Amino acid sequence: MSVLAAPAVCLWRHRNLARRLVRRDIEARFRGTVLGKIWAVIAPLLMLGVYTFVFGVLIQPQWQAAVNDRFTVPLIYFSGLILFQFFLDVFSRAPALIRDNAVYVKKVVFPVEIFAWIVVGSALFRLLIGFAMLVGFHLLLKGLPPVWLVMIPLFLAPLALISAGLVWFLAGLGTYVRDVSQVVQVLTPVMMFISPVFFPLSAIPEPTRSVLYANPLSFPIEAVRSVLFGGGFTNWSGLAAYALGAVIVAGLGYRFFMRVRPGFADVL
Amino acid sequence: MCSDVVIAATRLGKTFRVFTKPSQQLGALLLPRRGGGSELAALRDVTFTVEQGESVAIIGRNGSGKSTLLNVVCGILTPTHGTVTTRGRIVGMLELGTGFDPDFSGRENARLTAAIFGLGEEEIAARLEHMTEFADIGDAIERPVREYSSGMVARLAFAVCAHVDADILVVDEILAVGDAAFQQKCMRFLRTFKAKGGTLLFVSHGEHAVLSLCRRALWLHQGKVLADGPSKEVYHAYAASIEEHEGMLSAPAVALGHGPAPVRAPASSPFQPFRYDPDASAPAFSGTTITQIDLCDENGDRRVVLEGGEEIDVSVRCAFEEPVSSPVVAFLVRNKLGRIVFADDTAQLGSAAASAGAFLARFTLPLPYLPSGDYLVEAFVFDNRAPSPQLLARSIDRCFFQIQSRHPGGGLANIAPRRIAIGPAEPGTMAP
Repeated sequence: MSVLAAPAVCLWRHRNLARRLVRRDIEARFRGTVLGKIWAVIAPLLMLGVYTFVFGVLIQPQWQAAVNDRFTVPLIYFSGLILFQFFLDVFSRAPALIRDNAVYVKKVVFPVEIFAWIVVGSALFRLLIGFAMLVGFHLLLKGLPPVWLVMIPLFLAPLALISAGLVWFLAGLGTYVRDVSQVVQVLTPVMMFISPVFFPLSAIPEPTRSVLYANPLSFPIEAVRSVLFGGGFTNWSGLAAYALGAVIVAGLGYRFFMRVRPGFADVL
Repeated sequence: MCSDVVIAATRLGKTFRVFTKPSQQLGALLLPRRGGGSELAALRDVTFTVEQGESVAIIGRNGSGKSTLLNVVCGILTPTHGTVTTRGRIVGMLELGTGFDPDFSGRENARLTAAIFGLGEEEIAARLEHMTEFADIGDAIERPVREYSSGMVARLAFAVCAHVDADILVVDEILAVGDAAFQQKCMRFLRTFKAKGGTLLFVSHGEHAVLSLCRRALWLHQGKVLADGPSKEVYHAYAASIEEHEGMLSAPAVALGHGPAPVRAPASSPFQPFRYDPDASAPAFSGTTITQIDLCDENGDRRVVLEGGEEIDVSVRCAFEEPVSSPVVAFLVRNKLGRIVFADDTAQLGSAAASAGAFLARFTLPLPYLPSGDYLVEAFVFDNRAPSPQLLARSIDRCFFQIQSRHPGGGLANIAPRRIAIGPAEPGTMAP
């Protein structure tokens, strides 16, 4: 039991430090840019614009017929894309996480394990901006979003937990084996295509569909979509399984990280 | 185990296994029995305890394991053998400022560093002002750290470390940075820290820093403790070993007692009738202020750059708001490391009451031959009444001067010989 609770305990114990570091991480992204914090909004806005143009005007995707609404399809894509962007934010940084922060390993006594939470927290911030814009455009183009919206945090919490777990695993391994960075780079576009961003999982024939559910992004993307555009959420057993899986992945990832952590100072 | 022990190291060993590939290291961590890689012992069988309030210097040649030991004590490195336990908040001043984020301002970095040391939000808010005041880098505190000079970074980092309520300070040769005034400040801080009961673990190559801060020293050689005892004896044995063997030392030629040094009162010379604590702080509202300290030469010109042998006037001006029954003015000169080089006071003149208003004490003296460097003049005003003189005011960082010596001798007193001769020893061959 303590193995599973450890990730949360670690976050709670260092909550002050974590809050400060997340804030720094978010600010660091915009430091020195001309537009500053405006970028936090511009970047997703541009993305939404491009996808509206491509999938609303240029290409007629398969959803177009079913939804029969020029604006809904881009919003559906956008909801999947911000979740995928979250994944990208987190995983592109994971393998080199400890090497990038070597100072905290070699020069000061520092709970390096919270860096996984920092990366996740900082990416969550961007995800929330994305969601705010999604809701804003929904209001603008389609009116009030469904009340089911309030359920979204229920899907994001296990996603955050699973992400932290994978960061611990990748960061711990990546500190010793640099090849992990390369593998993650190759896997990222693969993830893009096996995640149900541009298609609903229901469009995939059976044995493959179950396999795709193993992708940690599949459940939250589908769940968010059904909440916002599908009229409701009924997959409670799916949520329970996903949450349980998230807790286990996080617990094991944390355990692995703490196991290999003592050697960091020696290899950096 | 004694309850006062705050650092206990037992048979501590740190072996760096040198792997050809980091992935081998991972294998060794996950499957510890597998082994592999060649070994390099940085620490071997190091055992010592430090009690609360003790100051221990760690000395030794480069590569003797000093920094490794500090890192292990701090918890940055994990020991291969043995254990080290510490009690209380341990703050390592190892490489000052390396954790700073260059894109963020000094203030933001100070906040973050304090948070890393475990301070809560309110504590940080309460202390930030003291930190910036101590760092004394002015408006630069709002500028990004990448614009700082290395001295400013060190100042800020030291200031933060000084205000996080450490129980144990682990200091690695940091007094080599900053100017004279700041080094003074650091030494003063370390002394106050000691006086308040803090425990200090200190690595230095400087004799004065070691002897003036620590009563006990630990001599490391090739990862082993060679001697542990009173700092004076250990340091001199260490210095002698370097001179004699030029690093060819194989066995310790000294027998020294183990364990902490006995607490002794500071040595007092017979010609020091007026004694005071130069590190005591003056009361905030004593009605007395030191307005000016001047260094002048024979012509009455104010000087900053001086040379040994010059006749100088040290004048201390102060202002009394009310009459003082028995004023005594004292001054002292410290070198960069905070060692008092010379000092004098007006107590020997006897006392005459002073009325309110401006007051001047002047000392005319031949400046000793000192090595080149920066020196600080501190001034003190006391009311010399029974039973003990009362400190009214002190000025510690207002006046400094520089010595540019043309006699590059060695040691604290940089003598200027009248004549130097060399040649065969037969009489008559050397000029008289």
